[in-house]
This record gives sequence, structure tokens and C-alpha cells, in this order.
Amino acid sequence: MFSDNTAIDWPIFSNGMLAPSGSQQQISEHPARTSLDWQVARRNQNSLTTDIPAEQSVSAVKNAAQPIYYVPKVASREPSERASFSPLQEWEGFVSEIGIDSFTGLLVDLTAKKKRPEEKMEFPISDLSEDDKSLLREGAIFRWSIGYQMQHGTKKRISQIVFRRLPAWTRSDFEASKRKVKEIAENVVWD
Amino acid sequence: MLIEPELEDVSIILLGDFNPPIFNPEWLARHKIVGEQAAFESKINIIHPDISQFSVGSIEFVVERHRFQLLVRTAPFVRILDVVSKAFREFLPHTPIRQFGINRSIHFSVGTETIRNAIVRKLAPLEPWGEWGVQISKGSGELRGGMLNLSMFEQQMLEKFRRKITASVQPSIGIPHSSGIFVGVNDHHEPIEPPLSPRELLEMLESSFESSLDNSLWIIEKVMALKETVNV
Repeated sequence: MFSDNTAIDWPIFSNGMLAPSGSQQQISEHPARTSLDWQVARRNQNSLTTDIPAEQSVSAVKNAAQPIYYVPKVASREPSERASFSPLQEWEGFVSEIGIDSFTGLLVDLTAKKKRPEEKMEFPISDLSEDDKSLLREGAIFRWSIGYQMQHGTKKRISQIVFRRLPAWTRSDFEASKRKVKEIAENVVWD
Repeated sequence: MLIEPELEDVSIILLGDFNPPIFNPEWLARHKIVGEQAAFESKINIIHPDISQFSVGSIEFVVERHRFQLLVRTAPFVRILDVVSKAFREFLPHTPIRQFGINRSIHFSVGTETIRNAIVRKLAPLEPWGEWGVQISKGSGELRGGMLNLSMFEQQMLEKFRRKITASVQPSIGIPHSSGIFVGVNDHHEPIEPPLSPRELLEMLESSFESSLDNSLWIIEKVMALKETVNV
């Protein structure tokens, strides 16, 4: 199911020669991990969608013929320094109208597990990031999240709007949809 | 949610064959998978034939030859699904993707170390460990002992996939005063009879992402609920 929790460090590649900082580091002399490193390593270990062949992970550590690299952890900062924002309430909306300073969205309450838009809200365009302003147009889909952001030991309530960058339909998407519709239609039994 | 998280993250992991140097902020921005401003402000650790690691906005990318990971700590979590969908449907449709996992992890505080320890003892009692359990119970302060990690596992057979859900509980070292608990849920999907096309895997990922996060939260809340059951 999982690779041995103690067998693989994160990052899984350790530099047997030089770390990027220029200091020499052998695998066996890798600095003792802090408890945070262990937590991250154990957590990341548990989140591997397994089935990485055992020999692949072993070879990364033991095979001296292959170049191996030191890679800093993705989350190298202390947890208290990382911002975390968990939604208390979330809506998915689409833009129905765009004004000079604001836009109107029709909203589906995701937290309440609704399927259809039941609310309408006006949002200031100034609330959008520059990247999201470029996505603002009628019909564009966005997520509106309200919750608490935790960072540096402080907590503040925030509201965030993010426009979704969805894949464009390709020809093969259309063809696949047509096939599916045909399959469904052929299986309909009419009384 | 029963207890507000102190820390939370959601990640998508794909297993397959990838070309790490393709994945970089400039490529993502050029294809409008991420915004230009976010790409400009990106933080790059490494772009290399074997591994690419960088963050764009609040999304953290780690791409290796056989593993693709996106992680986000701030809502809306669906953004990482959108990145995967847009990148692999529109621009890299022939990338061999063989399995995927959706992960949700939460650190939450239960108030005090005493309550935390009581919850942990409930999940992993010391009595079955006999004399060793007695020895463990005598440790305190820096010498305290007990459960380090407990994992529970469930398998489901879906129409074309085998689903493996693993939940792991640990004392949190991310929350001060030893008052926190960490719960991480890995929701792994692998085809029953491979190979399935990358499109079919992506379709399964897209259709199951939100429900997987809901299910993970449902599991995590089982541990959260223990706070009300311990007598301290």
C-alpha cells in the first residue's frame, strides 16, 4: 500500500555530492530531520498515490550511477508562516452582467450542496486581481469563498473571488460527447 | 466543519510519464493556465529534466518524470483541478496518466494537550500493549510517548476503477502547545483493467474531485468529533 514511511525522505532525491548551497552533504550525513520534517515526510508519504515501483524509489537513493539532486521541500517554511485559508462558505457563480465598476453574478451555494443558482450578488471589479480582471466577461465562471485565513498566528476573515480557467472544448471533446449522447439515446426504452 | 482548521491543504497527484521541464511558469502563463501576473511573481526552486518545483500564486508544483503534484493551501481548492484539466486536456492530451490521487490534510486544535492526549489514547489505547504500554504511559514532557501515526484503509470497486481511501491521524507538530491533531486523507484511484485513456482518467478525476474532498472532510470530522467524547 505505502512505501515504508521511514524509507523515503521528502525530497526523495538526496544529493550525495553537493547541495545547491554548495555545502557537501552525503546521504548518510543529511541533517537530522526536525519533527516538522518528519510530519511533512510522513504526511507526504501517506499522500503518495502509491504504486510508485519500489525499485524506483530505492534506485533514487542507492543507485550511485544515476545523477541525484537535492531538492528543497515544497513547504520549507514553518507552518505558522504559511497562509492557510479554509472556506466556511463557498459559491460557484457565473457573470450575468458587467457594469462600469461592478459585475453581477448568479450564485450556486456549494456549501449547502445546491445545484442551481438561487442567489444574485453584485461584486466590485476592484475586488478582482489583475489576472482575474482579464477573465471577466459575461458567462465566465468564478468561485466566491468566505472563510478565515490563518497566518503568523493571526486569523482574519476574508472573502475571495477567483475566476476558473477551464479547458476549451476540443474537437475530440465534441466527438466524445456526441458518442455519449448517441449511446444514451440508443438505450432509451420508449413505452 | 466541526473544528476550524489551523492549517489545511489539498493536492492532486498524477502518476504517469511526464516531462518536468515543460512545466514552468512561463509555459503555464503562455497557455493561460495561470495568470500572467501570478507567473511573473512565481517562485522557482528548480527546473530540470528530472524535476520541476515552483509555485505560482498559492499553487505549488512538483513535477517529476513519473509523478505530477499540485498542492494548494488556500480556497478555492478547485483551482488545482482546473490547472490539471486545462493542461492535460487542451495542451498535453497524449500524456500517459495511469493513476491519480486526491489528498486533503487538516491540522486542527482541540484546545489543550490533555484533550489531545485523551483523543489519541482513545484511537490507540495503551492497554493492549501490556507492560510496554505501562512504560509508555509513564513518559512525560519531552519523554512522552504513544501513538505516532494511525492509518485506516478502505477499498471500493467502482465501474472502471479501484478506489483506495487511506486516512492517517498523527499528533500535529504544526500547532503549538501540543494541542493539535493532524488528519490526512488520500483518495487514490487506479484503473481495474488498464490501460484506460488519459481522457478517461481525467474525466474520473474531474467528476470525483469535489465529492472526494467532501468525503475526506467527512472522515476528518470523525476524528474531530472525538473531542466531545473524551472526559477531561
